[in-house]
Amino acid sequence: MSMFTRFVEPGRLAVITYGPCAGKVCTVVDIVDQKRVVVDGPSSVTGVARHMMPVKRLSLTDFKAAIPRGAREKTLKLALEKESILKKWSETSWGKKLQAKETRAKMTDFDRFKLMVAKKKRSALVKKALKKK
Amino acid sequence: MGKAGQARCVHRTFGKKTKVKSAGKASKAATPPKLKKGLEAGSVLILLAGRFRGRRVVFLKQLETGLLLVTGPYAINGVPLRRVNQRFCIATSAKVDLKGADYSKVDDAYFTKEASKKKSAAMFAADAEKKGISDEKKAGQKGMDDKVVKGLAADMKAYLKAKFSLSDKMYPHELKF
Repeated sequence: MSMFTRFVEPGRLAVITYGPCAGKVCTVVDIVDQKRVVVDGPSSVTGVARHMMPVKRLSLTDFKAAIPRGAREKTLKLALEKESILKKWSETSWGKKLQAKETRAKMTDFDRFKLMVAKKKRSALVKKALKKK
Repeated sequence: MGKAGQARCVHRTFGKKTKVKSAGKASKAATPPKLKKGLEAGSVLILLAGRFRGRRVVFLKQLETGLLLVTGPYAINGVPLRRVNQRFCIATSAKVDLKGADYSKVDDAYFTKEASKKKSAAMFAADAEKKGISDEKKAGQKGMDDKVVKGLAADMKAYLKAKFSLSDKMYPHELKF
């Protein structure tokens, strides 16, 4: 059995870890050289416009869309939809974690307060239930 | 090496270039500063300085001096009608319905204190009258706040009662308020 399963190849779904698009998901479309690739969200799906990007700033995922090298945005979109890759991605624990992080960052002060109150309530209930035994 | 450029002006002429200020036009009245982004009547502020730092209060209006008029409301968290500088508060996106509460009577003059008498005599007098806030003001505050207090939802009440503080891994520049 081969050692590696995730490769930098056209169609590979990746998470951007650095830069303005950090935290967003994109697909590798083309390979420029050893260090750089062209990625595309597509921007209508994940908000990442087609641009060049160092591989260092990508984290590869298990998913891969079936597209030829240098595929157009339309083809990519169709390929992603066909295998419902983004849906599968959002069901993985990695995808869920990223989503949770985002919602947490978007919380306002009032939301944070409400969360704090809810947490307090829950822990009080848990404590009560544990004490009974 | 030196730099090619304009020679510095060494010769000074004194008294020739001074402009005479025209006494005729009065300078424009200072316009109150612009409000912080997202501020409107009823938004919740977090105070950052002064006796009530960390308190969440309700913004009512901007006064002529540019200071913000806020209230706790007093019945909820003990913050009276106060003026604060908008530099010393954080505007949050939370909003309170003012329910048409009328604060039009309150202006900057409302907050000026009566000039105190000469110290020397009163300073050592044991029976110096203790000054507090007049009953009139207390009643006025209550009356004006009444509508706001009644319209508050339970969670909003608790929110206004609670003090704001940063805890572990909360970076104020990254937070959304």
